Amino acid sequence: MATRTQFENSNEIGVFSKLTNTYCLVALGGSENFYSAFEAELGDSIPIAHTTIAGTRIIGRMTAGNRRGLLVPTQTTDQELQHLRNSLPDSVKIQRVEERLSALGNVVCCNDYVALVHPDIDRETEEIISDVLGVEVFRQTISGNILVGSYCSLSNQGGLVHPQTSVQDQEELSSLLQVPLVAGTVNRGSAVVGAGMVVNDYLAVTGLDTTAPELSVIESIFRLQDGNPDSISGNLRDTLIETYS
Amino acid sequence: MAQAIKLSELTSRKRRVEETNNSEEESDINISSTDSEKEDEEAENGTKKEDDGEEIVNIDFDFFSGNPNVDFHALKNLMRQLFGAQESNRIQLSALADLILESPTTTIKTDGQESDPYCFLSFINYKENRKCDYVQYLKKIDNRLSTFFDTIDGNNNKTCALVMSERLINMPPEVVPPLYKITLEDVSNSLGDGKHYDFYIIVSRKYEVNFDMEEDDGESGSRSKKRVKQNEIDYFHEEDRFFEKHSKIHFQSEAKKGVIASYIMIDHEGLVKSIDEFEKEIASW
Repeated sequence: MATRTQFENSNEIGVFSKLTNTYCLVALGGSENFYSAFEAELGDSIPIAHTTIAGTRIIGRMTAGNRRGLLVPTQTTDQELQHLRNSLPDSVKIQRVEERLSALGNVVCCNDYVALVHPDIDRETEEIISDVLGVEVFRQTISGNILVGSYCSLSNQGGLVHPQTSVQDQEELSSLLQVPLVAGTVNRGSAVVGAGMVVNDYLAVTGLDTTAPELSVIESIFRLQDGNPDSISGNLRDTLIETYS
Repeated sequence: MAQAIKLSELTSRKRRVEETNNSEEESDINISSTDSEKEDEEAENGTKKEDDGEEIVNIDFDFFSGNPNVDFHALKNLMRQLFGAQESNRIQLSALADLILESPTTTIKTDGQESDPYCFLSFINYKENRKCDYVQYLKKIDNRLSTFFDTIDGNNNKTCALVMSERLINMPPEVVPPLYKITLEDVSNSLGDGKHYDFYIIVSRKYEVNFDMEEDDGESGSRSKKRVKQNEIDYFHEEDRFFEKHSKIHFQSEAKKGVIASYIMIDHEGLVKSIDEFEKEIASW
């Protein structure tokens, strides 16, 4: 299921929210329309935590996470950390990361199995990502772009990368990530696909400006047409090494 | 401002800047665009001085029609500037941008057809878009506007246009009269038979000259009525001075952080007269 919404007239949903298979974070101060886009689809299945990170609302860009864990930057306050600990399920490990590149949402792009990281992050951070999120970590760029979290939107079923990614790079990344990739845009031509939308195994949320063709590409690459959580994603992952140009 | 920029364009833009820097010594070379796409495209030369007063950079302001493929995001940003942060949350800017791109619109760009507009002017037909979100928003602002709209609704002979106009703060005001003339021509062509709209609703902004940004809102709120008399008010859009003179109705909202929203209802004669007077004023500078 792919829905469109706006956060205070901004179409960059991936900036103000974070969506995984076990929890969802949303920024404070949005309108009811914004929250209802999530609540209508997620209902009671996973908890939705309203929070700030380091006093800011750009929580999607400051944090990185998947079903197993959530990484928050150094600047996160103790109250925020406590609030997250209370709101998220116990199975989700929360860890504060001391990293110079503190916008973790921009430097890390991950799903439940694999993570791409900015080539310059610390060794320690790489190990923490591997431990807490339980993923294989690759230092990669997306066709020369070091901000992998901003220019790639990734789920367990597929990935969307920015439109200038060459077919060669798509193939390389696809074999690393073990999911099909497609190059495309979101929010009516925006190349920053990681920040423009959020996605998990059964829901994608994009900005209101997203055109119908963009939305259909998103629905097809992330396999969202079914509307139900796809329980066979684990098996599919081993067999799928396809690329789309 | 967040804009959709193609990554490949960034490298080509940098290359172009390097090229112009190299040719700066031979300042006789005119880099105006020679391919004119529409008959309403005009190239006007403006000069900007750098801070040290030594260098002069030649900028060409090219006039284009609204281009739905390129202009959408920039128009949204300009409208966010026009309405201000608070009010823009109450309007569906995307819908309004689409409406602008469907109506006669002129944009001014400096880097060619594919770049973002720095200034635009659009006339939206009120009667065709009576139900749109923007009209509902205008009706809620003030009784005078909703009464005016009701009167126009009742009258089959008179037509009304919603004027959307905004530009970057350092656009030279000299572009405004040609901008209006070109767009009015477009309107006549689209309405057919050289017809024109009878009335225009213009939304614009003004500012308080001595506003101190550091003061709290609460403090200035209670004293704002006294302040308005003490504070000088000046126009972001210089042409508003003339519009207000010839308008049928004009009023403004309270100052918010030194910025005042102003609303002008003017008829066609008044508009044409204002533009002419503004042109004469510019000629005398």
